Amino acid sequence: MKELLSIKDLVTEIPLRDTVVYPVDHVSFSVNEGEAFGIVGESGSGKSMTCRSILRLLQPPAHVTHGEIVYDGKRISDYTENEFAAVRGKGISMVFQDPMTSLNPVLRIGEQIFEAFDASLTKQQRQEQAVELLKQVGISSAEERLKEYPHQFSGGMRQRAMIAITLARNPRLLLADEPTTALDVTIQDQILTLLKKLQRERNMGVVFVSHDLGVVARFCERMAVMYAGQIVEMSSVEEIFSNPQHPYTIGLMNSMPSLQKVSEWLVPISGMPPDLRALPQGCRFAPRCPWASSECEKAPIAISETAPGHFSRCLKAAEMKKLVSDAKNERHE
Amino acid sequence: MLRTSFAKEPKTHRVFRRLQMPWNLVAACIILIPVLIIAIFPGWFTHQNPTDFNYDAILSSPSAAHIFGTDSFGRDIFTRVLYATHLDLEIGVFCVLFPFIFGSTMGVLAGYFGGWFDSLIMRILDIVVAFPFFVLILAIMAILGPGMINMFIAVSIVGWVSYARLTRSEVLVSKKMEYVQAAQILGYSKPRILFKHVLPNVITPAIVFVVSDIVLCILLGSSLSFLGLGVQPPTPEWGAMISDGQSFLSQAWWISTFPGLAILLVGIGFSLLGDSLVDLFRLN
Amino acid sequence: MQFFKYLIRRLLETIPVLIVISLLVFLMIHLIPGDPAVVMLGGRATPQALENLRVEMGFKDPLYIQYFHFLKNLFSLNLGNSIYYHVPVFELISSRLGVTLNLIVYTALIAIVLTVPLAIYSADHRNQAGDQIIRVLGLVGICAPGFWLAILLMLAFSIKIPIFPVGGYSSGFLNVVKSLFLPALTLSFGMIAILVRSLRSSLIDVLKTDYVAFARVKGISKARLMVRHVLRSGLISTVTLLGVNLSWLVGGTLAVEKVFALPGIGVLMIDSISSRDYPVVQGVTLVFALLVVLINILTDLSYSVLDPRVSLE
Repeated sequence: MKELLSIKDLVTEIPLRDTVVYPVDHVSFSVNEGEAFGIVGESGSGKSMTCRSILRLLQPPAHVTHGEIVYDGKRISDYTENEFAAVRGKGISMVFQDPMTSLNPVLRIGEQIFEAFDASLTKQQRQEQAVELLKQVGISSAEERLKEYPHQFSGGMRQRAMIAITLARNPRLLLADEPTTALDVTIQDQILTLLKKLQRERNMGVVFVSHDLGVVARFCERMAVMYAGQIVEMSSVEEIFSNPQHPYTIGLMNSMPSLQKVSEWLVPISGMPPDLRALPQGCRFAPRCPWASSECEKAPIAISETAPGHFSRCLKAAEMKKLVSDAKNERHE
Repeated sequence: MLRTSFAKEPKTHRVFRRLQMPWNLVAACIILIPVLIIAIFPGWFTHQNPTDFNYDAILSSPSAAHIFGTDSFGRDIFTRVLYATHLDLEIGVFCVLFPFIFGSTMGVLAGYFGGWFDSLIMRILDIVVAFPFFVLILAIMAILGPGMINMFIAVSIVGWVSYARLTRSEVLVSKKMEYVQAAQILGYSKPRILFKHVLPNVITPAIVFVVSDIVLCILLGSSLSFLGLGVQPPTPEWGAMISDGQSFLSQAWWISTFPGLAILLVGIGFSLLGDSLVDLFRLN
Repeated sequence: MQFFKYLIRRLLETIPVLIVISLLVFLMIHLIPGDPAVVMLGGRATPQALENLRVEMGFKDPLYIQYFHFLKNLFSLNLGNSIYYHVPVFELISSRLGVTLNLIVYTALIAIVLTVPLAIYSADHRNQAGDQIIRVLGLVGICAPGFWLAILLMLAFSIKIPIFPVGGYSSGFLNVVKSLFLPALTLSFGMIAILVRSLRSSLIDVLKTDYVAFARVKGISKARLMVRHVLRSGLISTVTLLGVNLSWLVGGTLAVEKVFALPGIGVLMIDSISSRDYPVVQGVTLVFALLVVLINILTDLSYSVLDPRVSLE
């Protein structure tokens, strides 16, 4: 499989009143053609910022200060604004979390689709392709719908419309930032199924960002877990679930109702996500980690390959299996 | 080099933000405090009198003896500008006093108690708002006659409406806030809720409005004096002085220019004060 | 179709306001302390002149009958006669209304043309040097008295560098453009200052939104982005502000008209107040109020056109 996107050591900083924070702190990962790559984390972990940093959609004063982004073999991180504008939409596209705020409320849906098309198409062609797109995302009576405004659509339909717009230019990579979070649970399922179908049909790479581990697990082949601006674990979905190598990942799995059988207890992760302005000296998860030792708190932990294709930022990755089963046995006593 | 955001933050700003000083307030004080001193003690800054005729120096241009030049009677413009300071400040303050007190009270009562009183206030509001402000003032002054006192009356009759509208909507918003509802559930008496909980949050936007209203009133007062309907001669007033200078514009530009600069400066001072209050009360 | 229904309803809603306006304008003369006839003609008028005036103005009838006559006259466009000029008030006003209206429209045009690029530049270069300069100029525009700016402009561009006429007004399109330019520019300063501040703020808010980010994802050009997405949304609140400012302008042309000696209804108002020509004062006040009502309706209508979320209910 060809590598479509490669991110190396991406750093984004936000200068604050009296300090500087790094919501994206040396993040590296890659996505192959046609592959679905998930990024999981709490709010504030930096997963959304990462997507926006890739597509240069940051709000000042946030800005990228370091890192290399290679897309389809080209170092797009070096591109000028004009060159980059060509990449957006055509190569890499993005779907946002809340379709209500992502669609311009004063323009008709049709217009918002039309302007995504190439300038060379005739009005007739645009109309036809727009109708086709709406049908593909499962919106019926497409012709009438084109003339309507976003506020006339239901939540699920708006998300479908947004997906349709993103697909207008046939992107080869789609960044999906919590695409189902703002929707009802029943609609979530529909949208996920739709996205998967479209991904397969078009052989699109997808970066799927979510706080819901269960959703990412169903959708993606490979995934990364982010915490406090860093990737703390990365591997295939199968690997991570059968052999988690970071306490935070384990914590996430234990706290997700979608992943637990009814009889097992839900165990929330104690403590709060860290304040980026006052990060601990050593491991950033240590304050909340049930297995943290003094060594964990001494110095920042680097990410390393603890098993083939499996990366973790935990010093105790190797013993993780034993630590987990010990904890389970304790609970049952 | 990565170019990834829409715009980069200028380096100078990092310095300013680190200092965390309210620059608006500092600038406002630099302007207004000297102005206040000049208003109260104009004599400290000039040894001449505003009414001193000096027929040897009619229409003379700015010089060491007469910093702002002289007018058609040989009077020193600088002195006249200084002595007129207190007048426009008084106009600003007195024109907002009654509207602020009366209007805010009416607005708070209307918003808090609702009912027929609220409807009455709203009807009056609608009527007054239907007329252009300046025209209404003029119409009332046409009835009452020219002069500063009449101007205060006219502005009071019309001006309280803006304060009523502002405080009323603030009260309506406050009423829905949870801390007021909590106070009501706890059984606090209505006056207590009004004074301790609703009023403090409602009054801050009104205070900010007062400051910008002062600017408007100073402009209004000087405009009316310029038109001959406000302050009557020979009292020196900035607007009236600008009017006097119009006839001599081609020969003596300084007569009209400097009083206008004074109005501008005072206006800027109060505007900056208002902006700093907005920042202070975190109203944006 | 819905639009016309809304329009009709809006017009009907203004009727109570119009009635109140007519009532207040009518009462103006009677609110003056003292005998209206004496007030109008002065203390030295002869008893016969006073009596003639009383008969002519109908001061002897009870108030409600006078009001009835007043309304009746209104509908036949009879606003009484000017004491000073001895011609019907209606004629006086209609011959001068055009000048003032031209001035207002001219001012609005200059304001609109200058506001949009300034606001876009400010929002795009937020907090940088250019933006700060524009903000300072805006502060000056708001705090500087209009009549003073008028005089300064006259000094600069009519006297020192004679490009524009010192004052006066002559008909003919080119003449109007020339003679009204400085007055309109003066009046527009204050408007531009307020409008740019508001539009800039709206634009900055819009630029932060997700839908602008999403539009950028689509890869559309920056120009198109600015105009179709950012401007369209940002303009909505500024349009309302424009309407409010135009209302201010209705009474605000007075001082500028005086400075530039333009024969508009503003100058008419000032002179009539000084000469206690109350029928004229009444008439002009009425016209001003009507203009404001009209502007309010237009503002509401344009708001509903710009923002499809506002239902015409």
